[in-house]
Amino acid sequence: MAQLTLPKNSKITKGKHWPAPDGSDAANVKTFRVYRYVPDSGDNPRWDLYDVDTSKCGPMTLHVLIYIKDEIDPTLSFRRSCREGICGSCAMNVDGRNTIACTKGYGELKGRDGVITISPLPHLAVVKDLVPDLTDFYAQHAAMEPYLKTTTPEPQKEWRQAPEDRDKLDGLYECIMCASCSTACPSYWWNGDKYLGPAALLQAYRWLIDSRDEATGERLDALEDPFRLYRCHTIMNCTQVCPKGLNPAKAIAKIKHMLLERTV
Amino acid sequence: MAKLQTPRSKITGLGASGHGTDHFLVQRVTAICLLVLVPFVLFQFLAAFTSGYDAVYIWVGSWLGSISLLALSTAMFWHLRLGLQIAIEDYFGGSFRMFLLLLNFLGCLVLWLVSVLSVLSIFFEG
Repeated sequence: MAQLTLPKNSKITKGKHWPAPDGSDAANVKTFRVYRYVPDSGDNPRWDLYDVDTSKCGPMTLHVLIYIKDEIDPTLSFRRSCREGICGSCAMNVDGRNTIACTKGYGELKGRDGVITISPLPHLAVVKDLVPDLTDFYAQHAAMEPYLKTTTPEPQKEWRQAPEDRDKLDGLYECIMCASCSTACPSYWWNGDKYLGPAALLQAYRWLIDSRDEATGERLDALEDPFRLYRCHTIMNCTQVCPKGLNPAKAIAKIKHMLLERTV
Repeated sequence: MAKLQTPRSKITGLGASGHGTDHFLVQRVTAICLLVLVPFVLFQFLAAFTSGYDAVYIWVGSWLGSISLLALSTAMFWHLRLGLQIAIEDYFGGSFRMFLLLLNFLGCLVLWLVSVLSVLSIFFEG
């Protein structure tokens, strides 16, 4: 359901300004506006401004955040792990668009008046600063039962798959579950408790078209619902923001096509 | 007290309702019907309209006019009901959603009945 009023203590206030250290070359200094929030404190969230000497850090947004944490403000919280676009931990909203900070170069961002805004993934509860609560997102993924389901006795060696059937999984298995797509989807914002979201549905389709899986009908049964699947109105934000270049909207359309094929 | 529930239980909820494809299909079928019917009816109506009230009356009372108008109103109000249902489900929750869905159904049904009866009354009079 759409939330038309903001929750208590959600108005973002002006925070602290951290100027660049003396002696920094002004040409290299970039300003980053970072969302700061500690729910337990009872304070409203705030925007902190950090002037970062970019000659002292790498080219990616994650480099800037690590630099801020190491050199300017150690209280800043964010998730990160692989720093090479594989783990999906550092997903956040950078300059108005969901992405993973480790592969988003700040040099390619316009910002507003030269200031680049970094905030957590939208419409999720915030654990602290740039760390969102992904509990429901992971539960949705688990509900898709993302593993091979068979009733035929397991073969001695392996479940065999033709190369052309294996090719069908390309563009689906690469999902790193960063949640950029789901949290960019307005339908997921309004009905995230019932709608499974693009990431979970992409995963569902990955197993639906796996030639080795024997639970296709059962998987389709679990998706046939006005909210679970059909809340997707083909807005396509998911495809636009996916940092791995995947197309969850197409996968959802294919699931709808499979259901139609079963019905008509 | 906060509801003690596992995330999986929260997401699974009452389970899949087992429908939705019918809604998806009918919405698209009615949309295609409207794509054909709207220009067809509009063209005929405007052709009759230029000749005055009596010409429009005769057109509505004709087989072609009444059948195309009945088809148009059926496709239009069915499509309207399905479209509004989506918007209501998107933006409202709880018992207010139920109330609006019922209102939507009844509203579209009444509008459809009025348009059908109007066309049929002219058809049988003519």
